[in-house]
Amino acid sequence: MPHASLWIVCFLFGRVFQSARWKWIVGLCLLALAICGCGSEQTEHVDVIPETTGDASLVYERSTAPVNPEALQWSLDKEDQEYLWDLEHHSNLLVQFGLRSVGTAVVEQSVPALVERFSSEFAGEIFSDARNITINDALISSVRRSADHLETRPIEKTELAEFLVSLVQPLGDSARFRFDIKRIFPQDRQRLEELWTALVMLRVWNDRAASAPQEVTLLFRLVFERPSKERFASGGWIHGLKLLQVAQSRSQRPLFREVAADLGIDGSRFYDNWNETLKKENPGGIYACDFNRDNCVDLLITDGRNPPAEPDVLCLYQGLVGGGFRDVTQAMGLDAARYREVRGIHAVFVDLDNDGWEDLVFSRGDIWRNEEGKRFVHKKIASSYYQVTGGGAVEAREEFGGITIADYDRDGWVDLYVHRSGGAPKSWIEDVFDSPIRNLLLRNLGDWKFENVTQHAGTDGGGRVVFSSAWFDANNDSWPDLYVINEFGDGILYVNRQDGTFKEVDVDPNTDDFGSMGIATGDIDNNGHIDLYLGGMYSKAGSRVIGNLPEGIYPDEVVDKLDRLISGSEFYQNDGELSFNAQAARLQIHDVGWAWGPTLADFNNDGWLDLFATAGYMSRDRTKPDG
Amino acid sequence: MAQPGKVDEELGEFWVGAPFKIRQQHNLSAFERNRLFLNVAGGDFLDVSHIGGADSDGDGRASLAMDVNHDGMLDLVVRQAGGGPLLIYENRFVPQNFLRVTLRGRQSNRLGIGTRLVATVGERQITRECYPANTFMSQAPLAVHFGLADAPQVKQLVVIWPSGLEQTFTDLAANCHILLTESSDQIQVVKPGQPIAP
Repeated sequence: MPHASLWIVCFLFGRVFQSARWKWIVGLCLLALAICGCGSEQTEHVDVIPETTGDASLVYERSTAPVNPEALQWSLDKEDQEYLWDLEHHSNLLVQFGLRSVGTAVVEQSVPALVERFSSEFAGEIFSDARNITINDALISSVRRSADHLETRPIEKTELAEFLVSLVQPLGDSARFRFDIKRIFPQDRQRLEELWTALVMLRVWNDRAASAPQEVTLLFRLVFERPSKERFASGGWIHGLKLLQVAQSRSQRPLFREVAADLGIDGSRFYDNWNETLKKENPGGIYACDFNRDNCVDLLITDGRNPPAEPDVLCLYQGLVGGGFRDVTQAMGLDAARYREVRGIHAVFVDLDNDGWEDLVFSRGDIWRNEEGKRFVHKKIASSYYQVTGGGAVEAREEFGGITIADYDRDGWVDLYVHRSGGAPKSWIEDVFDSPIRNLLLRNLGDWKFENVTQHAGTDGGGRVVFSSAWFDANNDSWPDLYVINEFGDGILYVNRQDGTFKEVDVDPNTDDFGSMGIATGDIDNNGHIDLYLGGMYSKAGSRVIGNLPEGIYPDEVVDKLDRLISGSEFYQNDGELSFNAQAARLQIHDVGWAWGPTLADFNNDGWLDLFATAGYMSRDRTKPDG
Repeated sequence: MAQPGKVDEELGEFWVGAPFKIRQQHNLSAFERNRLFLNVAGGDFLDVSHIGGADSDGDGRASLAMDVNHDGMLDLVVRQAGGGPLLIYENRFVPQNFLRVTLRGRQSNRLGIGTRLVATVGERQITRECYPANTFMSQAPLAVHFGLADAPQVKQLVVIWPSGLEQTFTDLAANCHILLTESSDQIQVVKPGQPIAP
């Protein structure tokens, strides 16, 4: 359980060792290292798996500087370290031995088994004046009831147990459950043997294959005796349960059905970490286009392999009337031999010569001209633009990143913004980004010529670590604005000054969107202003650990920053006049997980944009813990 | 600095020598489900991941929405680093009305990138932009999609081209894919498999 967030902390703090100017930064590093197990009294180099062949490994090529022995003096006290470790251990005990029997009682619909776990002093509470959010249509019945302003009323323990059982009763015999501990702490830090409190999420769901899919999710505050295997063996250890929220959803059938193979795309030809020894962080992308203008959307799938042993895979699938796909990679001239020289998994379709046919650009700087939907022809561009930045030449290597497109100067030619993830920031805690690898704004001059206008425009990203960017009109002045996200700090909104330059705007000075990987834009509330959703890292374990840092050990602003690091995705609601409000937590769309590329789309055609959000970093073993 | 507490192997707890070994040997934000949230009238979202059926617990990365089978409902394409590298999900929601718009710029760039469209649907105004979302190693289709619920038509569609030209179309029938050309009043209905001239 405890490890993912700690890894995140390690990962980030590992990068500030070189320049750790602040004792709390160093202290936190060591906290993380200590809990994660990296700590050592000797100077320790982080192990890095050697690269196998060529530039095979995007995953393992990172390294960190050695730990500075002097930094050890700023470590958390041994007592504090043990305390945090202990809390995580107790969290594991609670889930594995305590709550497992509670979950079993719930799915077996046994009121007596539940009541047996409640103590004689049990205090039950349930939300009153519930705020209901509902969806009801011919298929779906979904409701979320939550305590408005956290108001609750007492409920007797048998009545509460009956209520919990009644919620899962419709799910039938196939019900399964999972508990997530969002926070856990002893009520008195000095007396672990006394009562503890946890914020717990219980999810119960049935087997979709066997019957109509149903799910129940409960959020509650639990008061319980100190977790131990022995204590959990008998009943009466739960002293309080305050039910804060209940969500129930049911559909007559799953709302989506996976059909790739039926449509003629064999997914098994693409890299799958679960089947490979070498784990790649981001094997490839998906890029939609209509290269032949036939109103059937086509799909390019890129797949970074393990070159030179295995060449990258590039597949262009033509969409067919009726819904199928046909592999036209070779037929369209995107021949493997040529592509082997080019490489690149980040791509964009964009009509660069205004002939109405979408051309294809890879982020390494290669352009393929679309010749009237009949074939793609490789277009050699004099001195790859990719290699030039404001600071001079940089090495051309595969980067996380990509290309987004807009006609930023409204001259009728679509321009390119190449965003890239550079090196580690000097100190993310102070928002100092100093990567020499900068983003590029390339003005399309027509006739396949581009001018690097990054410096003049002021859009180089400031050395942020940029996996994604998005063009949209933030202030309804018809000029394209640009949001650039940041893996290691706050993103930035570049507002178009309408004269070829941009001004930087912090969309919400009171919050930040630390740790974002992906971005989606759209008017979620139909108020005529385009909103932003940023996919970023959420960690339950991180919330537990950082929530239990000893008070006063680090300055408030540092603790705030740590909170944001693990708080997940952000949603900036645009109220116009460049006024944005962070709303992800209120809307409960923040805690997706280790989130990547989200999509905003109206899946049910009700006129409101829905959200699909991907998540998950590295999965190894279902029987082992995770955070 | 030794490990601060003891490892309980029965619980699956482990101790690693270096943080970077975690992802080489252990789970790291593992088996997290991709999630689907339905927008409830612009003010709330409901998590319908389980009943949605698109909640693979593989290591999800890119996603995009596109209408694969031309039925007017947006399907979903998902790219994962593990646990099924490519997933295409057919949309099986209750069908509702839609309008899809492809743009053909003249003074503006030819594919109309940067165009803003404001549809009046019943009492609602729905604003969409023509930017092919490239959110994270993905690119969404260019055509602009409006869900109309049960409205039989779009009463008014205002199109603001990147050139600055503003055009207004009225009474556009639902469940069509139309082509609008800058400076032209013509509304051309397009069909899958019938190429449109650039």
